[in-house]
Amino acid sequence: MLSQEIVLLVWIALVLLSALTGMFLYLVIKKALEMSQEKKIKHYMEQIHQAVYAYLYQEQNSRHLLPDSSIKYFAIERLLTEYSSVIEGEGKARISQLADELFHDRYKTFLQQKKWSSRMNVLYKIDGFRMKSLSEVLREMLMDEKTSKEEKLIIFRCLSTNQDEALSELFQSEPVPLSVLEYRSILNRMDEKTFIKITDDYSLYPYPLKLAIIDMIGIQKKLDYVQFLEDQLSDENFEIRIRSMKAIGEVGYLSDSEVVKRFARSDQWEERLMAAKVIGKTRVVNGLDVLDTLIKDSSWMVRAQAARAFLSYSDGLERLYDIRFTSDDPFARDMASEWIERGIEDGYSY
Amino acid sequence: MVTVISQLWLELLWVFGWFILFYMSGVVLFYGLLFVLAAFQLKREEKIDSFERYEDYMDASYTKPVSIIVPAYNEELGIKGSVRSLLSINYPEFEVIIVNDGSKDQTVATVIEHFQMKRVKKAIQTRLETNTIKGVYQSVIYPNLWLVDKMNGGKADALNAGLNVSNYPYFCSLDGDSVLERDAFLKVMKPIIDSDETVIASGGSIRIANGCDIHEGQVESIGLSKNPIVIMQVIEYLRAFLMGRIGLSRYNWLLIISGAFGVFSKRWVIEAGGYKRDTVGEDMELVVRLQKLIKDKKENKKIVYVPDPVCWTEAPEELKYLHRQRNRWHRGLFDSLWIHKKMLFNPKYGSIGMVSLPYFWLIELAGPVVELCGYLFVILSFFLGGIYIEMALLFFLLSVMIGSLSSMGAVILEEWSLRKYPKISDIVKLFGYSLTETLWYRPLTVVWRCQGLVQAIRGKKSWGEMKRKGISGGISQ
Repeated sequence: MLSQEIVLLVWIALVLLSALTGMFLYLVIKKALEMSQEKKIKHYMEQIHQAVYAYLYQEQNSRHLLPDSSIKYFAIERLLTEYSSVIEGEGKARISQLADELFHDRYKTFLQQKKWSSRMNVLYKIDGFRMKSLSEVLREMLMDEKTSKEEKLIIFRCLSTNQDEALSELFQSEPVPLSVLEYRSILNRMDEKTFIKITDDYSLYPYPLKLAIIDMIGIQKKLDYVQFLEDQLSDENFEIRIRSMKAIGEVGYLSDSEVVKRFARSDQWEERLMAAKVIGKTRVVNGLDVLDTLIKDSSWMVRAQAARAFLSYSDGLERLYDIRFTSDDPFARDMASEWIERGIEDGYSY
Repeated sequence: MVTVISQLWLELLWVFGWFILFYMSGVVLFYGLLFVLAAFQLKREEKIDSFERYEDYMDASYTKPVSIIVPAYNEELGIKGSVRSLLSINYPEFEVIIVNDGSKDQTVATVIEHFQMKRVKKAIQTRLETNTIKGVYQSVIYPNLWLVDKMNGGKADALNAGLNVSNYPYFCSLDGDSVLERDAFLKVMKPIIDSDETVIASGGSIRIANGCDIHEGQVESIGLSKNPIVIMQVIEYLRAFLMGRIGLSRYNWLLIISGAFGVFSKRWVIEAGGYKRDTVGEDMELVVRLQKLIKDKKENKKIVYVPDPVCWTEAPEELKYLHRQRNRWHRGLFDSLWIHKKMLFNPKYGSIGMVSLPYFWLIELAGPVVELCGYLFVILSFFLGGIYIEMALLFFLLSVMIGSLSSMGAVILEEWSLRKYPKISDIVKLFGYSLTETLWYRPLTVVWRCQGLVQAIRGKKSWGEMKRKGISGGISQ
């Protein structure tokens, strides 16, 4: 009675089973082929290693450096990748030059392929070798709607490495902004000149890029931009104010101490925390008086940061002892004790 | 009279048989769907050079610092190795917090002696209730290594204590006996960093370490154990991680981040109330609670899963310990689902309430019960004969599809995308063993899980001991 259903199911199971087995065999054969190709690549790498070394360090050209098969391409590519992570300066420029010569056409065709992962791999290579010859193609890809967000990120990085003049415009014309960290990784590759040009158009950028620029000033401790940061402190956006404070702390300099006092009185604990942090980092005049209030703060984070900030002043430890023994606030006393101990461990003496 | 009753009985059995068959067909379709989803996702990520992907994240200014919390209960053998391997991970800023949960052996003394720990005074912010903390120690040689000595209170309690002591905005909970890849944190933190913190928790794949060559807490070469029980578990993990979680993660349906390796935003976990203390499934329960919190607060936050294997863990090699583990897992699953039963089919919780939880209730939790009934049906059918034998045959075919074929699919996904096993013979072995799953391994786990379910409903909450061999020292055979 059920025999029809059984036959049907047996068929389905058999079809699935043979499909899976077929796929499996295909993968196993592919693996075997790849293993043998891998062996050939390794072998060829050994053969041309000397030539690549001579090219990079002794500026000798060699006929080995004119690949005519994919195995040879792979071998040179890998050797150059290995070298690019260890050498700097002149050698790196020679790697870019060789990569531009050898791989330009090959990579250009890969970039036009449909397969996302092979485009991604090529982009990583272009970035790693710092190739310049493909910039035009990359800019076109940025304008293409079909290019994925991941690809755009690496393209921006490549253009930034090459100090591309069009970056500011490209940032503005990008319909979907990247994340703050992604922008940071782009900004990180710029030289001073390009960075100045980028900050000129600050107000026109998407929000995450603004945050990234502020962060970057802090990370690279760009003293020239303190005024720029102080200007952002009156921004209506909370995050921009906080990040600017943080960056000021990183740079370690503040032109106007009034700013900190305003932050120390803020209703938001994050701003009070940043006030404590910035006082510690910049050792601004009259900072200790503000810290006396902050170590009694209702938030644990603010108290801890304030206690820590005390230690950056030369008479800070002494002030912490005062708080430990005389303060009417038990939380402040606890926090002071902990940081006195840490301060002494770190070799602080007075 | 007797004939009427037996007639009725057979009628009932017939309906019951059909119910099982329909249920199983549903499971087959759902697994098929997951397989397709996972295949598309993996296809996209296929073959990207991993080194270059993470290079940019090694810069300390990009990454978020992470506190690694290692709860330890009677781990004097393994603790040195796991901590040493943790201290050597590739990540710019992190701290390791060992939480001794009132061990009865020399765990504390071993750690203090080996890493030169010194007692420190630390103002602890009690954001989560825990049992009394007896003392906090810091290492003289590694300033980022902490030891918290507390009264016994269970794993969840230890994790909460670690959270109170931790200094960083993200934390990772880690079992004492797992081995991490050096880039594990870069890989798992990447989605969090890339998303500007839209992702509040991220979990990695876990693989089985038995059969791999491990020295000094590092996986030197990947291999496959000769033990059939271990091989079957390898296949199970492949299926669970490659098929299950990739499929679920794609639409933010994820309800499990394994306790063995996951990174969470501390702020969110504390807001959710930390780990729940009286359950055996504290890791899953937390993730369900986080998903609930996201929906309650109507925020656009995500929990994701990273397919790359990042953590290697020791699997039980004997049936006895495997039995205990599975039994415990199923009790944990029941607990987590039961605690949050109000979310089930609740449209307020979106796809979590309407897809994910029903999946866990109907397929993961109830599945073994239906399958067990199916086995009983097969046995009965031998006595009843006729149509019942045919139904039993259908049942068998469907369970081959659920067990063996989906496992073979998972092995194919692995070899298609991640390719962690270098030897062709290992892959062939995995594929061959998956074929046999329905015949012996699956029935065993079904019985264990059913036992777990019965115990969970009765309210038995013991952990069940697992025999440890001390993996970081070298498990290679």
